[in-house]
Amino acid sequence: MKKWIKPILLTIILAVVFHLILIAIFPNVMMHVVLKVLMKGRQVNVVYHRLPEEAGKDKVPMTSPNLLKSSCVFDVSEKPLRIKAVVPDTYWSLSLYAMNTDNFYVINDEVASKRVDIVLVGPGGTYEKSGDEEVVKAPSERGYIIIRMLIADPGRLPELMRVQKQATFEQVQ
Amino acid sequence: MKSVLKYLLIIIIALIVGIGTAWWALTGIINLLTIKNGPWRVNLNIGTSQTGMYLKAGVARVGLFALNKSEAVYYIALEDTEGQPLSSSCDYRITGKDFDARWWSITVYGEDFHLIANEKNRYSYFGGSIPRNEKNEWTVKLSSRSQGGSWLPTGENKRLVLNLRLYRPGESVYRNPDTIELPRIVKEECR
Repeated sequence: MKKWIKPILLTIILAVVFHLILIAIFPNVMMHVVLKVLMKGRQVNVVYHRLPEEAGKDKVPMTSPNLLKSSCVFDVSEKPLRIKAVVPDTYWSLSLYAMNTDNFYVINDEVASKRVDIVLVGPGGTYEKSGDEEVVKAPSERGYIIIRMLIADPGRLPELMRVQKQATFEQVQ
Repeated sequence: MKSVLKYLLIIIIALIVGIGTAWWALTGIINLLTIKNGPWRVNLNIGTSQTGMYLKAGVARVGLFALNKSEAVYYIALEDTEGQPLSSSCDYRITGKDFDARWWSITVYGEDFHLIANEKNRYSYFGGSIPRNEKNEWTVKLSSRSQGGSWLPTGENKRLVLNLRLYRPGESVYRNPDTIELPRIVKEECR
């Protein structure tokens, strides 16, 4: 019996370590996997405008079909990314996610002016402010940006899609 | 040689147990939504850097890109008001009033947490689009069979998941997430 105690204890300790490591790295791994799926045939630092979510096309679990979304996988490892968007007269928000899934920044139509101008800078990057743009520091070099607009009335969808397409994402030279 | 085999076996067993328990912890995300309000559960730390590692991992599995609580609060229900699991083999009547939030929506998902395919492409109701009765209450019906009124089709899923999203929630939601008035989910007919 005594000779089994040491291997059993070692197995339990190792299992706990493996368990904790897996739980800790899971968000980053999931983010990498999901971004890879979302990026299929697409480029980083380019905004893509999506139609309202539909069954069978919702790549991420628990998405909201009431929102019109634009999204972009950002990579600010080399240059900052300038985000410009027009804010409509409905619920609107722009949210930034780090690779560990944290929603590290969000701005909505209640606080934003008619036009939003944000420069997203990498963790080690610098940017010299030249105007009214807001400078946001990202905690990770890569991540995800989502612009959400409420479709309160489906009849307004064409108008909201026109507003959606006015968003521009450009790397700062 | 015997010793090497012994340690290899220890590592393999530990790996299996470690992966198995980690997956079990992630599938039980509802238990990480620690605040209970009737059949609804919520955790106000979703999306923030204060999120514990289990909640963060659970959200990464079923609710990636959730907003933090200043922007949205997510109430999840997997059960009806009687505590029975939500199933597409039953019809439900969800009744409630408006919430202390700028706007809200209620969405139904299948057991895989994805939208349920249906001919009407209807998965959710924006609160402002649902008619109110004389008591200022709204009703949404959950059924796999066509229903009149505000109906969310549930397809052929064994289990259903409801997500009540409160966007730009007010103070009362943060202060009393466990006692604010939330919709009742009443089971009607089962097949």
